[in-house]
Amino acid sequence: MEVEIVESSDISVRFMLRDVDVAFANALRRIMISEVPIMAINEVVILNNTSPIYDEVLAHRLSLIPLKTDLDRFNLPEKCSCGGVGCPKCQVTFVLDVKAENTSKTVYSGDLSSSDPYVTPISDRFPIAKLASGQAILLEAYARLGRGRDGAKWQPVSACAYKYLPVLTVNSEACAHCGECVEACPRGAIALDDDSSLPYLKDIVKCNLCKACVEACELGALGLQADERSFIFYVESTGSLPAYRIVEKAAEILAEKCDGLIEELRGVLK
Amino acid sequence: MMVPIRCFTCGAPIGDKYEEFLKRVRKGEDPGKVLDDLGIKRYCCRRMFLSHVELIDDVIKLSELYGGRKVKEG
Repeated sequence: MEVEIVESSDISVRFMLRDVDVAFANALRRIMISEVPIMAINEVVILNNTSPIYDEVLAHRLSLIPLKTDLDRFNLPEKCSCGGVGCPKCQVTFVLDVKAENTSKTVYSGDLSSSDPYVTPISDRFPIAKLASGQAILLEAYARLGRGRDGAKWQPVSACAYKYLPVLTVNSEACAHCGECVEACPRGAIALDDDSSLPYLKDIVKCNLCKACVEACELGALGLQADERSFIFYVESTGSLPAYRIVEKAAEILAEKCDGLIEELRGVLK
Repeated sequence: MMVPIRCFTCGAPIGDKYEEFLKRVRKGEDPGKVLDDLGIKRYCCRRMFLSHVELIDDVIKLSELYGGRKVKEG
């Protein structure tokens, strides 16, 4: 197995995974989507809401705001020593206390005050509700760790996908260096080499294996195949965790699952 | 009624960028270019901005007229 980072930022990471099976790549993808835990608001106690936004809509909007998550400091409620009742190790409390005095006012995610200085909305600019003058909202919200399989608000990734690595083969004797394949590529992934003027894959990320280049070559000098043991992953975080951390955590969870299986098997076979 | 917090399809957070989008488009900028600027790449997220109608401001006017929902002061 070999990993190569193509591009990386806090919010997204694109990497190449070589010499693995489709099943492994897909297991990693599915764990990133549904098993890597993040924080999200999942309980709201509304004490006062005179805004035109209904209580349940308000709660739903709150739950969808991505919260910065520190996985090392928090437990899943079901695995916490408090038994899921709610303690500082598994729960963060938010308070929203806003009132529009003389003019209408937009309530932003920045108005939420958190009991934990690290666990805060990723942006202060999410509009939660709008108040006419005289209206008010007072509520308490509880954020807990959860997994994507239990609800989209706990899904740490927005886009999370992979594709096969494209491999372009050129028959250098048949190629007329005409550049038809370069013209035909709808995504501009192919270019002619400066020295040999043979076509090559300039951008493996852009190529989606449509084979327009192969069809455009009247001489049949081109071939485009998928390397079915190499994958280009694209993982985009919602902002709760850095993108690389999601991949890392997904791999840890996969390893944990395998360890669990080995232990079970040993128990059964004894 | 209000701009959604996230894209309906992919779940990317978009709500925090809507106000800037609206402000710049009203100034006469090309919506497509503003979206590029804001880093909204996929068409699922882009349609969230282009097709959204912010109705809340009209509802607020009604609220002002009728004095809001009657809820006991707590």
